[in-house]
Amino acid sequence: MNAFCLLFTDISSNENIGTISEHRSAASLPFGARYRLIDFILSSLVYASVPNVGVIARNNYNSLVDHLGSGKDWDLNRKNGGMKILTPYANATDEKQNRFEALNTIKPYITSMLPEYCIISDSNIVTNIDFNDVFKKHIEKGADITVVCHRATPTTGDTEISYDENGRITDVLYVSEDKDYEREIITKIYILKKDFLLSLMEQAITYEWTDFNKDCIAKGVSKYKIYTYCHNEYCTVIKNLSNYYRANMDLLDVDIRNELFKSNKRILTKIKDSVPITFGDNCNVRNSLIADGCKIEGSVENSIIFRDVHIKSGASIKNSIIMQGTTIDNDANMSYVILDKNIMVSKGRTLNGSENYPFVISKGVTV
Amino acid sequence: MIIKKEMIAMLLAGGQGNRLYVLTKKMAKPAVPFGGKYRIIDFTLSNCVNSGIDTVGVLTQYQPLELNSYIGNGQPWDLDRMNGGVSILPPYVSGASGEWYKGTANAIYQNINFIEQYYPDYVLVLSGDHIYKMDYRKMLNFHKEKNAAITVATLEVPIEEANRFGILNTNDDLSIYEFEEKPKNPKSNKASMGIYIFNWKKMKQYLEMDENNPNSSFDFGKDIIPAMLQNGERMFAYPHTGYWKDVGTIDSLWDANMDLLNPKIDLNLSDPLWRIYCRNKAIMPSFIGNSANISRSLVTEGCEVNGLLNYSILFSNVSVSEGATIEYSVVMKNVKIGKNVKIQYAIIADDVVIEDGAIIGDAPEKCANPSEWGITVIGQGTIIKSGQVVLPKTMISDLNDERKENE
Repeated sequence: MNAFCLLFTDISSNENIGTISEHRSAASLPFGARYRLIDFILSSLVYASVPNVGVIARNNYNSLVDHLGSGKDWDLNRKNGGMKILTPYANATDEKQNRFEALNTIKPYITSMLPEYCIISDSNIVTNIDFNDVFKKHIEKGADITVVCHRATPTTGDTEISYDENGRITDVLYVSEDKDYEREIITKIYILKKDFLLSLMEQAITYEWTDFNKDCIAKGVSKYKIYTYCHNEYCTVIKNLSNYYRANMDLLDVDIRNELFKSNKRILTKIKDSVPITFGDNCNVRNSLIADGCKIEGSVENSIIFRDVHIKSGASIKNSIIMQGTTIDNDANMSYVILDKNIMVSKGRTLNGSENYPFVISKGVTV
Repeated sequence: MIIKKEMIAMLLAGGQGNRLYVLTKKMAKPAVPFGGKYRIIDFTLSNCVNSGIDTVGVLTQYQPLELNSYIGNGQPWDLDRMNGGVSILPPYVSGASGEWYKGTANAIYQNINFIEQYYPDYVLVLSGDHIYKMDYRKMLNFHKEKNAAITVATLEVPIEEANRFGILNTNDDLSIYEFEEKPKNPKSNKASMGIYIFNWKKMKQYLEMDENNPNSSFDFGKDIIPAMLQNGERMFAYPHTGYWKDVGTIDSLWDANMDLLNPKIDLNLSDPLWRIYCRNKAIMPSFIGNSANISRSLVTEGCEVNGLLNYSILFSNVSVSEGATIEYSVVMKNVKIGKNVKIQYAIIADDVVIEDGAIIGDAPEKCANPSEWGITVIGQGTIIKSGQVVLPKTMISDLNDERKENE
């Protein structure tokens, strides 16, 4: 594809996933028993043969760098192009850079790109999107900017769009409170020409723009040809804890799984050498997604279990997300809980959260 | 620039594995899947890497495609090295004199040039069809201590089974004075594991001698070791303890798989200090459905389990529909199992489709005549029709049928 990609790895200022994203960027948030959020967009880029992917790392990128490595597991460790992690320059001290400031710090990377077009995307989007089709539509319509949108119930911080029968965006609305209807909202995936991006970046400095949606899309609807690409397959933007929890639980639905994990376009992720799952004599497992390396001797229901989790006999896990390397001792009991990595839950403990407010325990704790 | 290596490994992986029948129709024995996500050769390759051996020549001959593409550049075993790493060594033509590997010793003989690139002091000869964990470093230390020309790794087997193995008779200092291939009346229970460390200079000398012997069968066990014994070389038996299994038959392959489910058997795959590496793909995690009932089983990623699973091993991407029962069986990757299918004591190879209600194999206690009972094997890509009954000890393969039609 004649496009390179710039991938933001943090979340926008109006999004907050809580303690599980305190020590890691949103892009490296564990998701779906063996993945990190960035795997979804990154895999879609790989399947569309996007030759260059610049991953913009700004803070807390330790786990992200650890996850991506050389990019080998996504086949992005190329001599020409491939993945490049764009870390902040030492003099760019302001952690709260806005998107335009971040883009301006990596201007040399952008100008060095040979492809004519640029895909800009956030990496907290759970979907399996055909970028070739997005690109094709962008060219066909002669758009200046194509914005990927999906149908969802708008919540605070989303940007709703209105568009005409050709898909040209006529107006946008910044949502300031949760709504109860469904509408097309922006996913924060855009395609535009590289030169056009560079000119927008210059204008951003001149006019002190801070937000891509507000400043480029909202102010540009009449000036530029901005089109929507309506992405109708499964798509969730992870922006708070409850929707992180729900998106994980969505994977227990067979139709959603089939849409997301297409057999010819698997979601690629870091390869680890885990042994197969060991199920014990008296385990009882229902409606759950379980990764390799786990040892299940207790009971598990409606849950997402990451790698190398050991659930001992008598323990009961319901409606929970258990991240990598956690051990749950005999007769512990939990429901609506999110356990971060490497937690030890002692014998007989009971932990309960609720569906709209799951109980979160942060990394490395013994409970 | 080549850096000198103290010891390199030569892995004999050309074996056809006739006694695995339909499982080795399209692949060499070392490439046969094992234990949910591994291939037999993973154990030997992982042993090499864990023992600090970073140069491995893999000698292939029979049906090498699957094995070659599996090993690739060796990256899953950390054998993609600038100096050394894994090299696939098929037989080749050199001038007018090219030929197939005539035997295990001849296979090494034909690759003398490969070995000499690394100026090794020692050469470790391995075979790619055994399941075991072993630190070859300890064996090398033993070899050096004994100042041996060759060291043969041995395992103590029950004396009543000793007649199935190559048996080494040793003196008190573990020096070998006699080698008997499958003796009727074994004098010792030290069985050769087919693992040798040679001093390279000695080895080269004997390989060249053997090559010029018109009566030779070019085999380590049959020719090289007897010749060395006869010449009074320093030969020692290195005692190895722990799990070891030759998985050359359907029964032993099934046994070894079942051993993984037995906590009393010392074959721990999840030992962080001795990992068994394999080529992994990014496959989605397994989904266990509402009507699943699983006990004592191994399940690999990508499976969708909605039936009953007891004492069984599922490889990746196996789907088990509601009402299906799988007991004491090994189901390899991408197998689709329909509703109310019953599978007992069976090995189901890759890509098999079993339609609703089929019955495959049976429990030994249900069989009136014990000689009629055995493990049922379904070959790669076979389709078992709805309601079809496959009796115990049967082997079915679509590959078979194709050949019949062609003939």
